[in-house]
Amino acid sequence: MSQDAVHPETEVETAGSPEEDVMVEVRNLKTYYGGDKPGPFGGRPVRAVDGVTFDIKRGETLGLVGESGCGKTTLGRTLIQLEEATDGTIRFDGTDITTLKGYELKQWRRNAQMVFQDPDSSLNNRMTVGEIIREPLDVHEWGTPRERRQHVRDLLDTVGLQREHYYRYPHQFSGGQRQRVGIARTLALEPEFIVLDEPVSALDVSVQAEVINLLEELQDEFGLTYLFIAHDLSVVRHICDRVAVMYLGNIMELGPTEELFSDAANPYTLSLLSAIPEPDPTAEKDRITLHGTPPNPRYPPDGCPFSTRCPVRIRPPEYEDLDDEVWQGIGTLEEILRERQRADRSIRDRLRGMLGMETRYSTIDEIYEEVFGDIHVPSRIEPTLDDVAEHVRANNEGKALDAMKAEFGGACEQQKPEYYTVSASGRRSLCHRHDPEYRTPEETLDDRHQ
Amino acid sequence: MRLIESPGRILEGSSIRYTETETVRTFASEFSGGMRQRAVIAMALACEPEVLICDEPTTALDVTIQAQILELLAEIQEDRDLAIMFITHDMGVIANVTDKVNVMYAGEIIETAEVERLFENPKHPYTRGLLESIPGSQSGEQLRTIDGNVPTPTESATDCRFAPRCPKAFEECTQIHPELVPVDGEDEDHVAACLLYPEDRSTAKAVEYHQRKGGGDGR
Repeated sequence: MSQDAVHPETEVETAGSPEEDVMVEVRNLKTYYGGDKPGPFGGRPVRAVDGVTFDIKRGETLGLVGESGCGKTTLGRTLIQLEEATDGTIRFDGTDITTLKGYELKQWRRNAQMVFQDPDSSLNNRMTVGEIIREPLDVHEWGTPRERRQHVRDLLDTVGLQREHYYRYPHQFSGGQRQRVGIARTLALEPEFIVLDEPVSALDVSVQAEVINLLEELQDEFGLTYLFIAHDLSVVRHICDRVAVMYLGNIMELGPTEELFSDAANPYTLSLLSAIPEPDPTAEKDRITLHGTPPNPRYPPDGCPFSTRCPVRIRPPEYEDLDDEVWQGIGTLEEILRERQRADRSIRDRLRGMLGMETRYSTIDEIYEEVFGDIHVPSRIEPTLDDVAEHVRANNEGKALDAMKAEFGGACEQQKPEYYTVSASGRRSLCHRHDPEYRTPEETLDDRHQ
Repeated sequence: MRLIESPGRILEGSSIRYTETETVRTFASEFSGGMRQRAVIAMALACEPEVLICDEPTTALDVTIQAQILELLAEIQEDRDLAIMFITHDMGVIANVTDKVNVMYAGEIIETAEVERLFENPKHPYTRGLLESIPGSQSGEQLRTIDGNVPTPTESATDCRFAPRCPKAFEECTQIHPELVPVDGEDEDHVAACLLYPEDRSTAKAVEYHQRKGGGDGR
């Protein structure tokens, strides 16, 4: 990745070049749960999808990867209108489907279908396989009943099951076969676009390979366009043309599969790739172990979504020389304070605290002892830590966090980064470190991670 | 005191959200998946066992959390000189954490070897099929698969249970139960239950050897 190729991309609309046949255009899509009621009972919404922009080209497979809870499934469900978008647009062949209602929406739904993750719970055990696959045809009043039955038998054939399986029940099938039934049901209305939500995650390796082969054959045969949601990166590498990496409702990096796997630019992608265990016992690789867990999507960080766990977070220049363990301690302290700030403290806990009795929460001195007990804390950060302790004793975690951010925060905490184009193929990545002003994520990682 | 200390220490690590004292006072439902798995590991270690059986400990976790748990288990193993039996179907995890691997099929161990040797030179046709079906390890368009399904072992085996799916099956496979034999005829560290081995003998001789070995076991 060369520094020259890096420039901020202000117009995200330039992402797809005009000659490409774009099927789905997603612009600044947001899906929030809850928080729609004003007043004291409304509360903050869960920002499951928090402003994503991308295109899906006709006939391609776009992969969507990320940790659980990052909004992959919500995004998939919003694309086919199983969830209502809070903001933004989704254009299918030019039509904004977020505005469709009633009859129009039902008609459009034939075009876009979904294969669900778990074949055990997505098939009704009280219906025969034939009835399950026929259901969408019945709902959309496709042909005559005789034609429907014939179509279902053909579909069974298409997905590699036997026509005689029509009268069997799902429990009589193995996991792989059940997933085939799910795929047949999805194909019943001859859609053009299919969201595959972790279609092989519940299957064993060899069965998984069979289902992947089937999906690829079907794509060739019917010219299907897939959005492939997965957390298994090796499957994604095999099947996808392009990959979008999601974290906390945001797309962190998006680009052609091989390029993204071999030359990832975003620190999150780099960490994710380094965490996959390779099926090769002799492979030696430096694993970047991320600490902690993703933040609560109800309270995402103000700056970069990945800033709380990022191994290459930008540090203020005056503290650039602090030891890594001190930085780790500061990060831990922040995380604890953030958690306490949003935890619902029971009345009992508050009272116990006021009466000086033991509560579920540690005092600030106990926290300092645990976090900084074994390490040498330079005297120049002590004033800040004292300030923070004061605020915590006054039960004001918000102010304590502000004080920490003002002293130790860098660009990553203060503002959300922009997308930068990081390669000739138009790969985009969300990270401040692509700004020529800073060192690149890879250089920093090499430096900090020896 | 030791009992309180030991789970606390394990829960610490990357349990950034709570301090140690807070952690032991938290309910499991308030934990994330990775933290819950840590709590379970802490429970398992509370009585200071010498052997720890981990049954798919990371299968339900995300890769970054999986990496944390694997690192934790490695540290614990180092600290306490613990023997770990690791049950999983994730070949990547196997390759990373184990020293020696047993491959099971339908209730029987069908191949045993040191991990490097197994991945580099799998001998049993089932092991080969399994390793070949990992996406990413192969270059062709189509993923290689193993045809058919795993049988339910309802009776004791009188033949090779993998024979109906085996690309290399021959007639005797359906009649004779293969025993675990050294693949090269000598080295007891790499054994496979397949009539093709030991590879230094002709097939007829090998079949006879399996038959004799099986009979010797009192079958």
